[in-house]
Amino acid sequence: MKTVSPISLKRYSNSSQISLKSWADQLNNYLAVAAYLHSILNFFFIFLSSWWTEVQMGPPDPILGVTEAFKRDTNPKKMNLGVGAYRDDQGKPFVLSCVRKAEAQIAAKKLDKEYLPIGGLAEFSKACSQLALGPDNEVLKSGRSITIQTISGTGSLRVGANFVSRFHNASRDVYLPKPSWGNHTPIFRDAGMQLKAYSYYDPKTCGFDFKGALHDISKIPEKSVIVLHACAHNPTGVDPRPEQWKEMAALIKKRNLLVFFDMAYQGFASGDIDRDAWAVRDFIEQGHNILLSQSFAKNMGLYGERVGGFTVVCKDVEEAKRVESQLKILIRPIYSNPPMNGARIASTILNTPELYKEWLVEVKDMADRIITMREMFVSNLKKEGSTHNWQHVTEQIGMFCFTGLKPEQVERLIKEFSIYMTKDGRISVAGVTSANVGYLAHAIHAVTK
Amino acid sequence: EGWILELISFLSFFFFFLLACYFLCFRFFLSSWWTEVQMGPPDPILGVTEAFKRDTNSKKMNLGVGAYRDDNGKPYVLSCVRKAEALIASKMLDKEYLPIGGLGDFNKACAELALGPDSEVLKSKRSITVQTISGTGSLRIGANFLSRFHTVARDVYLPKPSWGNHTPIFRDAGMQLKAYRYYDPATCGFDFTGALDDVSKIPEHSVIMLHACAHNPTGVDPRPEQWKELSAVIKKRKLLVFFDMAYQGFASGDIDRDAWAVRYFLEQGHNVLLSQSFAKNMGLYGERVGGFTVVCADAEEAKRVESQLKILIRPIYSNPPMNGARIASTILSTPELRSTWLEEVKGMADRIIKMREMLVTNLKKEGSTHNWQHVIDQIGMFCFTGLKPEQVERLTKEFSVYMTKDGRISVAGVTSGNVGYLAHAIHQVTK
Repeated sequence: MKTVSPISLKRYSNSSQISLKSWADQLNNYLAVAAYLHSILNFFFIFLSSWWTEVQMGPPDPILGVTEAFKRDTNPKKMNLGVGAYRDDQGKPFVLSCVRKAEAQIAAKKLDKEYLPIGGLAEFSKACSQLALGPDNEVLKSGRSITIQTISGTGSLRVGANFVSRFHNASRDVYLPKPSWGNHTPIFRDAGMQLKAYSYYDPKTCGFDFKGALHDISKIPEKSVIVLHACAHNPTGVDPRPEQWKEMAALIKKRNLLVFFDMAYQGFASGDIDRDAWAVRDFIEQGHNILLSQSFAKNMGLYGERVGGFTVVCKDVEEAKRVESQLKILIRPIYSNPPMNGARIASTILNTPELYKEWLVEVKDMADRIITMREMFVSNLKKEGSTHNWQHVTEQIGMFCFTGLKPEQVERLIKEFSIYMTKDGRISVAGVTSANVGYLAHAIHAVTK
Repeated sequence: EGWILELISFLSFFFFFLLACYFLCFRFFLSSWWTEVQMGPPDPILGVTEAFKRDTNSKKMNLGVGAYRDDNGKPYVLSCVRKAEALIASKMLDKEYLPIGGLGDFNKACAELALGPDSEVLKSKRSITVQTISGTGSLRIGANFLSRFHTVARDVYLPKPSWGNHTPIFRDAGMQLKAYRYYDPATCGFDFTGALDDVSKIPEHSVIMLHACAHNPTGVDPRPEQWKELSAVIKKRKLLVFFDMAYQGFASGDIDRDAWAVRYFLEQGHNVLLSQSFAKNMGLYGERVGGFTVVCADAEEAKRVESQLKILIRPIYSNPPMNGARIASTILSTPELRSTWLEEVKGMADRIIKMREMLVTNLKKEGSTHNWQHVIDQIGMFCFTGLKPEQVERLTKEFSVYMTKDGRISVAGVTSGNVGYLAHAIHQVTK
């Protein structure tokens, strides 16, 4: 706003103009003053102005909310069964001894901290894909796949989601099992995909709704993406049996769907890394050129180090090279290159025979403790006098168990017994110990009898 | 006749054989999802390193690398880093997930380092700092946050030129890229009038990206009085300031001096976004340590912003890597380690400055009559030599001196052992 100087104001006020002009001049004067005031207010406005006034408080993470409430609880018998991290039989976090040994080896080498390549540590990526596919896999021999290091399982899924969003133009739809890990939805949605679902869990049996799954899958439009949990389904713990996997593989091939495997628990589910990878390997044998996300958070206890891999199985080496180049272009503007520490540890373990053997023993121990807790849980429930069928607790596999408890019962468990779990009745069996399994059984019997 | 039957059975077998082949091929063809995926162009900077590796010339120099090298041309792990690692190892800590926003102690120390411990912003708790995957991760989180919540404008203004990766970071996040004048090729210095002119025309509420210190790739920084004028114009235009500070301490050797522009802007009332990296100043490159800060109107707003940052981060990588953050946090909050660090970062900055001076001295000794003042005036790891693509080509082919096509050299790759050779080579292609 152009300001009028006092001198020109005077000039105008002294002249004998027609009334309309002097009215306009007065208006001009007022506007000039207003302009001064405006610029002064503007100055203050900058201090008062905020860029983020419209930003709403977001809802707290449902799982972290459980842990936060648990921390506030003063009951000495409290149990945190929300945590998706393994605990030993004293309820303490467990760092594997093969990990400690690998760390010592790495420290002794006094390695530098230079950037990894965009696709990560090559020895890690190679060992990672060999672990999943098996070292004699035709895919690896022919070089027709590409595996890159990622920021654990989440990072792997997101890179995959972004890749699919950018290059899988045939379809925008990603089909998740119902239910699936909570974070799958925002991962694919934020990457620009549309979420859909296929039947998976049967609340009546607390088991696999095989018929429902086949029925839904048979209706999925061709070339859609279908997410499959390779083993230890999260959150239900319900896995298809091998014959069921075979039927699904055939149907999925018939429907011409793009398979995206999420394998976050290899070794952790049954205690046997090859058995847990069976579905992935079978699908590849059946000719599915899959996408695969792997995580070493649980099976190597490397949670906060963020170690994972993303694999694309391609038609041939040439296609794998093209895909690799595009993955790098995608990753560079997200985080440039992945963190080195965890990948070095995992690579050392996978590539050093004694450490690898030790790892297999330790991962089996973790899986066995979980299985033992499931069994003790059920036997304690029977001892309490529960007449319900708790078969599903021992049939389900992996870290989580879908108890079948209803939200009101979960509420009571939290309020009356200080036992914390997510509202869907999911417990982390990893949080159960021989010392507290009796209390847990007692509490669950109390709210279900 | 028998032969007709034989012929028919042969033909039908042959037909089925062809059918089987067809289905096999058809299935094979169907099983490729990625036929349309093109081979992407190689990364321009990594391409330099790859060509360098293949070169067999014993005098070869890699001046593309954006990583510090000591005077023997070797990667350098800071001694304070080694000490911090030993401290951490002895504690036998677990590897439980960090919170989504990262290590609390790290975030606090990271913000204090940038803003200064007496910052009014920190005292009033009106900012939120989250741990990120180094500088790139920080910029991308910021870009995603802007894309989702800064709905009044889609435009991000970068200086011309800027770090190559800025463009895809903001573009992939959904923002539009624009530019303001910055580098003056005529002077190999700051185009102050051009910058002011362009900035004064930027539409209100747009995002403007500023390199806090040691501009990448030019090494050209505004002087304090120039920063002051920029701040005033930016405030007048009501722009949202996004600072990229990847070299705090590494530019001048003094962490407070390098953070001066950021702190000045905050004093002037700009509520900035800030990306920090510890890749260079702590040599933590591959550990991926960084921070992203949003300065808000008040503590309540900071809480809302924090909640949304977590919702944004969770489906990208859930929570950040712990190792590098533990190292950085240990260094920043352990007095002896912190003072060692300050010395070491000054040592790195000083070596870079010395190499700049030696390069110019050697060029003069070679008999070069060009004005190489800009090599000393520029600051930080990089130097925009002013060399043209054809000259860069010659340097690579005839002298095995590798740099990016824009004539940018990483001074970190220069040593007292090879600065003479470099001066000689540059003189040859410019005389």
